[in-house]
Amino acid sequence: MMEYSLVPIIAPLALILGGVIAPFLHKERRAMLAVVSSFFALAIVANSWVLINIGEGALFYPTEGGLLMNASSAFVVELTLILGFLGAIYSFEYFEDRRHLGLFYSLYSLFLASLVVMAISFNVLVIYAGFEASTIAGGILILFTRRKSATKAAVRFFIMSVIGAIAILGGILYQNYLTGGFILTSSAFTGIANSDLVLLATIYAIGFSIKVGIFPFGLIWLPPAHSEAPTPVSAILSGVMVQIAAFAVARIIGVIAPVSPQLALLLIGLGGLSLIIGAAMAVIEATAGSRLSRFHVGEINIRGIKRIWAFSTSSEVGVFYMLIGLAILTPSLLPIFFIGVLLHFLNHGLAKALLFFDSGFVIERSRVADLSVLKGLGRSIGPTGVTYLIGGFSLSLIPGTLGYTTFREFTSPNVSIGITALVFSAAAMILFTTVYSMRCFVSGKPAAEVTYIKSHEAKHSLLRVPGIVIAVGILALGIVITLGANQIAFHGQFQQIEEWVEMAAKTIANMTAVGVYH
Amino acid sequence: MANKQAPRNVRSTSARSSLMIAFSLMVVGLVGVVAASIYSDFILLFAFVEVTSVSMFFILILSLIPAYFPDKMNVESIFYCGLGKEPYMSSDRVYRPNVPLLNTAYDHDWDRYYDAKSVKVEKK
Repeated sequence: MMEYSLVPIIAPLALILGGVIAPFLHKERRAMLAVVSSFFALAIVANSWVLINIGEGALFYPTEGGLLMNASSAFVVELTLILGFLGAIYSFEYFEDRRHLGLFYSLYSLFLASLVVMAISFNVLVIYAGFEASTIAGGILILFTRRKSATKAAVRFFIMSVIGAIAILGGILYQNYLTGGFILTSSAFTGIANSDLVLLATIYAIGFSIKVGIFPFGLIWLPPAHSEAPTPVSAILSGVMVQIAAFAVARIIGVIAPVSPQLALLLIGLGGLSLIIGAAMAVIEATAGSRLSRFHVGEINIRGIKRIWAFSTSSEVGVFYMLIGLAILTPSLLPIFFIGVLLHFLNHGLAKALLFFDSGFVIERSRVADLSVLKGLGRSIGPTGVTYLIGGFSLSLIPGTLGYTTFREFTSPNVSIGITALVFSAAAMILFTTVYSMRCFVSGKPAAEVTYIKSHEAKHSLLRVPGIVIAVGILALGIVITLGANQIAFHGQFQQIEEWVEMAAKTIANMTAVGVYH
Repeated sequence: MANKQAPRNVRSTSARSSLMIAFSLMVVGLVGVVAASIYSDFILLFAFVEVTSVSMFFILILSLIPAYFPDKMNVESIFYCGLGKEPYMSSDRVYRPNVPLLNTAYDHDWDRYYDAKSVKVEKK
């Protein structure tokens, strides 16, 4: 079941190599894109091979305490690499200033490499190192908009991440004191008093919650950082980084397996607050703006196009904490709630990256990042209008999109009616935000007199591509799952998907699917 | 943000070396962590984790001052024997930090969240 293999290091090494080579090609932009995207493609091919062939086993290099690839890790890494690849293509047209593209690609590749490292280890020290490296690369990437407000946002991101890192380091040292090691296996925690396990799990949950962006910590750094960053970075911060941090929490707490209704309720409470407050903030941002929604680093009040989706991210990460809390509350249902973690990872990752890519397109096309001065784009929004709605509908849990997976999770009998109502209230707010912002994109009437003093005729055709690719994926998977789950069509395919995700969910907190939950 | 016009670039060896140091520490830390986990050497792993931590603090400190440094300075408030006035000294010539680590001037075109070069906004 456990096999020695070089495969786990292919993805991180390919990305690091791409990142190191890119700056040397600074005189030729196309060559830079070719090199970076080739290394991404290599990593995707290697990881897809794992995804198809891994089954219930795991590949490790060179020990179980190093880098370890199992079904859940491969699933998370695949989404990371695909979104990273699309972001690299998007960046090519987004950064017209060639002097920075080499450095950008370099940091971008290293950022994604560090996230991959976080996802493919059962060693808390390696996860921690990936956490820190991703903070460094992510923080510098935020600066690439070259705005004063972006520097302030990056500083907030750094400070909050340092606080989170100190808490996690405390957890690592405590784990070492309790188990004498850093490896996350259930056998290491056998025989340890439950009170110690609860304390350790709480330290980790709080430390990572800062990076995940859970209420109240997330509101301090997440909306500024995710909205001030260049659009491809916003897409990765929201679609991948916060989710990998949540995945790490699921893995660590799943292995530690504390029995504590209090901790479970704390996580459910924090997740629920995050969910509802984030969604409400998104509505406030879209309609009234930063004057009321706050947490802004700019000098004027705006209705920030990207800030809407940054608040929405703060809401969506709440779902992860609620699912982890529910898993602790009813350990027998842990595999079911961890299926929810993986499916929400897929749905939110794709939809949020799409919404950021499309919002960035609107900003580049109109040269305006504030809804209150945005003149409607009318028909020139083109297919981006459709893809944007698909992304928003998916986050609003509309059947026919990938959001239906989260819909099913929270309408199952295992979830209390109160939690279901909370999730659907947040979904309704996100639906309103999507439709309202879309209306502004198409036929917005600015509160001020807006005139274009310089025509901006670039077609930005490359900026549309990632949105279209992701929207097709969301719809294709969403239709198969919706029809299959209701036994209308695609029943065989749906069953295959369901069995695979069920098996992969078992490997979030176990090195192989053959391992047994506590 | 995309900007066709090249920004004013103040060449500074110290700023460029800051980026090189931060970047090198990060790469050494990341590669070192992967290597140390391959050799299952926890002491080495801790050492490389520490290297990434140092890089993170280094970058934080480099970013902190430029983030809160005032943008607009009244040059006449600086006592410079009567020379702190136009045309002897303009506010542009007073030192202002660049974007930390990237060593390039801030893009003020987007300060009001629209591209001031392309769009004109007047209150109704």
